[in-house]
Amino acid sequence: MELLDVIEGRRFMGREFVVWLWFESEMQETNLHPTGVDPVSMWLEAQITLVLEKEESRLKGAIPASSPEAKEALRQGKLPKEAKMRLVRGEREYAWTLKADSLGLSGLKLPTQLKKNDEKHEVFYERMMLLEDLEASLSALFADFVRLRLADPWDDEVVPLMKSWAHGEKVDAGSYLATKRTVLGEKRKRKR
Amino acid sequence: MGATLGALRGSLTFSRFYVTGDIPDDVPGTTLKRIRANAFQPLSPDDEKNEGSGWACIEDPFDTDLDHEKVFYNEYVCLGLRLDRWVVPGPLLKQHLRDAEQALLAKRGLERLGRQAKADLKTMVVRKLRRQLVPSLKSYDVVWNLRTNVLHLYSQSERIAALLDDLFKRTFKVDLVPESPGTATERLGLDAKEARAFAGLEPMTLSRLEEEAR
Repeated sequence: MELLDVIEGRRFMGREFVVWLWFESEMQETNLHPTGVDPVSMWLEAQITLVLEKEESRLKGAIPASSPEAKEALRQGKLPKEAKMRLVRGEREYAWTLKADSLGLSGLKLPTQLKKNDEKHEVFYERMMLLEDLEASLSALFADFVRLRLADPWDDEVVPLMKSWAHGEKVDAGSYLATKRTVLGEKRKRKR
Repeated sequence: MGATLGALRGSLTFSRFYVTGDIPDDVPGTTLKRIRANAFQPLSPDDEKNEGSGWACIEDPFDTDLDHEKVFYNEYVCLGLRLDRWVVPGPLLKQHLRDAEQALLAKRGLERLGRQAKADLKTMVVRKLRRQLVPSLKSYDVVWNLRTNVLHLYSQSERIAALLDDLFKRTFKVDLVPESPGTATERLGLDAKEARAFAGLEPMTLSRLEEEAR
């Protein structure tokens, strides 16, 4: 594929990644286990914008992703274009807005300990270390999503479960997690 | 001055790029001369162009005398992408242009100015007004991690990304690939089956309207 096709023709994967994170977070009561890095607690909060072509639903509130309107937007075929998120890893807590089409982060608040009057290089290194920690978690989550998205069970097993979830039906979280374990486990085996 | 939030302080808003191509083994040892050659040069009121960009110190955009200590922080290359622009307020330009046009008509005893004379007059008035103004200055933090070859640009503007692309390639003779869902996927290293699936991927929907219609 040409680079332009890879960039422009696959932007939709960013929106699918956000809706998958949302689904994952609800299936696992916010406790996510990205492959190869420490477990994290993660959820969508404060604001989410869902779109389908030119139609847009912008929802605000404590946890707008839990609102009936958010699921209704999914049922209409909308997917998240932008979402505020919070992630806790150990004692570190991060909050930011993820732009799905570019995977760009904005308004990211880092759990820094040093103050601006501390030695300037140390302040910079602390910020970069914290940023890289967060990016490691997000990259691992994105990698898990991609492995699952490109595997056979995505269309046959995962999407039907996500549709049930969006339509407010009972979802067998155990079944979803078993599918995910199988796909990611096989991938790990093949890598070895 | 804009862009005070970025790598060094405040909340972070950025876009990411992958640095690819023929990356030198010793970036700090081999690139400082080219960084200095592409440092920001102040705008002159007589310039034809309306704006100019170049590298500055990440901590102080007014400092363009770049040395090793100001640019290389352990495994990070830290630079400010400085962009200066002449901004002549529209109403001010209009008024001065009208006054200058009337003065010229009276001097030459004419009723109207030709197209070329008007263009020349505008250039002259703009340059005169620029001498009374200071260019607007913005600086965007750029941090290249030499261990991962991931670069953060502390802006999400496409225009600033295009400026960075041009300046970065000119300076370091390497390529920049913007992060996107597609490029991030390719960077994972897909096996043959995944690559086929990726090439034929169609967007998903959680709507059941199509199913119900069938």
